[in-house]
Amino acid sequence: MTIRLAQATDVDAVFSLLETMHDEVGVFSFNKELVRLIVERLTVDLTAGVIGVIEVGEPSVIVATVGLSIMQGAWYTNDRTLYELWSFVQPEHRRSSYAKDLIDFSKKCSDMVKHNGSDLPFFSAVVENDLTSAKCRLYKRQLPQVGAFFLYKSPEESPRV
Amino acid sequence: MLTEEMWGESALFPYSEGRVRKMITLATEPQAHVPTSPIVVIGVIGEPGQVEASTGLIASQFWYTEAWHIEDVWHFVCPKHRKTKHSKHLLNFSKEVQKSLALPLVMGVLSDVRTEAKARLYSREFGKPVGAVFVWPTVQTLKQQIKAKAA
Repeated sequence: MTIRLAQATDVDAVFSLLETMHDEVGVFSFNKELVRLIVERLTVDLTAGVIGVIEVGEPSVIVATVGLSIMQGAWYTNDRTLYELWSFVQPEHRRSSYAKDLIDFSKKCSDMVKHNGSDLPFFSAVVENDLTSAKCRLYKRQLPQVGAFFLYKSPEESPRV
Repeated sequence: MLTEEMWGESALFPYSEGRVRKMITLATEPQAHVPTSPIVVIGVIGEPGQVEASTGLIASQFWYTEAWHIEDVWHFVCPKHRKTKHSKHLLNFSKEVQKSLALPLVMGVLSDVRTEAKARLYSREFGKPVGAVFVWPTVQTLKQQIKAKAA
């Protein structure tokens, strides 16, 4: 197993994993063009962020990925943060340490990367449902929790937007 | 200013007065809007000049979708007014905004101060949380960095 930064040649493989991820846990509709654009950008523009990928086998296949975007930290600040857009391990590779390896990769990026000389704290918002409860437990073991988020819709609205 | 008081209590990043003023202006001065400005709504409790509690809501999009939702950017009750129902009233105000705009409402509790109490209040109003927020390094480290920058 190797974990490395994704390159432009990895866009299709990463995009395919993200489609699978959205089928599993997406809350809002999936905009393919937008997602592809973001994946393409993160593979070529280090000032925008990075994508980490884990590949296995020979010939190697990408089976897990994390996307980290450099974004404004909060509405009241000019400081930037390293924000986790996604972290996903292919279902058939979940009995592995890959999810933890992706968290370690993100922590390392946060420790090492600076933006205009300032630190880039890592933030992750994990959607929690029956499918992702194991992921949430893992994150709680690996990272300090600083909050929770809630979704409210009118009772007549469908659960999936 | 209420936002500075809130920042002093629970901030994880340095305060930018310019950004804060811009957000407030977008909500209070319609002429400040340009077509790309997000909708901002601010709810307040109290008399003019004596705001006791406030919430700020903004129309936003997640990175992978064109679909819009509303999210809270702040929700704050002045310490001397905490033994009131202000917080609950602000949450109800957010629900009314959600109903008016017919967009999903995403509310977050992001703080290391009384986080569990806040989360319990939100759970009573909105049901179980749909997710959790994590940070690296620790909040204590982030706060030390803010202090170091300010010094």
